[in-house]
Amino acid sequence: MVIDALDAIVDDLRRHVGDSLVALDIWESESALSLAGFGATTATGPMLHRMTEDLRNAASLAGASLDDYHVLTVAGGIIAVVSGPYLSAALLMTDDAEPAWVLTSVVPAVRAALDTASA
Amino acid sequence: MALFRDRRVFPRWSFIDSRTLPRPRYARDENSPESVPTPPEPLTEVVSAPEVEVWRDPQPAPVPVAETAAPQAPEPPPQRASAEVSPASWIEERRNWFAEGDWPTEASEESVQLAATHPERPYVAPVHGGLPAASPAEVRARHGRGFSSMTRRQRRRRHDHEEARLRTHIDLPALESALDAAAAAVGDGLIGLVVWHTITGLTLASRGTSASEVASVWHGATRDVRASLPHADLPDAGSYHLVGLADRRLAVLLHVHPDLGACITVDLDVVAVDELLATAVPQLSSALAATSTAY
Repeated sequence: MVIDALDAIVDDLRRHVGDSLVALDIWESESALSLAGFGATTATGPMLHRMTEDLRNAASLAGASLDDYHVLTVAGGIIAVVSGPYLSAALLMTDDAEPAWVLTSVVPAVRAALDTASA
Repeated sequence: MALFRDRRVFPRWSFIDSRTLPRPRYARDENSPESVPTPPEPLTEVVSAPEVEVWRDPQPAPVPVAETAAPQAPEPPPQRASAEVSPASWIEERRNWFAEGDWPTEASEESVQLAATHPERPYVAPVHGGLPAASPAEVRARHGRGFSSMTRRQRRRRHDHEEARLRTHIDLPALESALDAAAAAVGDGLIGLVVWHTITGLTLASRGTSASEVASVWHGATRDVRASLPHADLPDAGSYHLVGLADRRLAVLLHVHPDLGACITVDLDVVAVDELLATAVPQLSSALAATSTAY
């Protein structure tokens, strides 16, 4: 894991998402320790990590398995959480971002960036 | 001395001097003209000035000495004042006064100020709203049973943490038709569709392979996520939640209504996400909201 590369990943995601990106947080998947990001509070990453784990347990109870992402609509914005084996990331975007675009474009980009940083 | 046998007042035989008892009421009208004693003729006017002088005289009256006291003349009969011996009684005076028609019909400003509770502060009489313009029948028709059940004493008081929650009626046939419409809109890519009651988590209707356990699990997950958002310094949850599942499946958790929750599971290889989020999900949300009525 290249910690120094996380800042470059943050800049790349900023350019990819554009002005819709309000906050970004990257944390370590095991300990939920925040490693890089901007605009997010210290509670955002750990709480989203816990939500992801709850959804993972719910999916397993429902007979399915959680993939590495989930997108949550909130008041005035959209939250996309991508959970990898080593790194996880959450992006808070405004209403300008279309959920379908987030699913088809943003989530694959974040997944690829996390895989690159984890390599 | 008289012996009373009235056991209502005197339970035992009692010897009571009748002279100590009060005079029976209304036995004699003191205001009647007959009750006023007629002064003996001739009537003499008495000036009240000497009485005032007597009161102002600080020197006590001289003590009569037995040896030097001369035989005094017999005292004259007691004389009464002119106002006291007026032949007109109190009732006659009131009758004459009423006949004149000069009595006050409303309280004067001076009397109002004198009746005020504060000695210096001027009293401002409150403005009386008057009687309601609407008749009692009209008021009762407008307010139903009237005001008896709306009084503060009879109204049930709720605690601060207690929310007044209305009853909910869920139109199950309309819910079934809404699920049919959603299944038709999604098409072959629909894997499962389940609707549950958010209060109890029980399944209300389902399509596809969704079981009741699935509804309960997704209900709990949705509730946990919504409860965790404020602790993550994030805004409240929106209308839906997209959860990516393995094998390119997508679960759309709907929480557009406080009483109903739903989960649509689709196959992303068959269903286009744009069309799903643009048409099927909004239609199902509005249909679910229409099936629930609060009363």
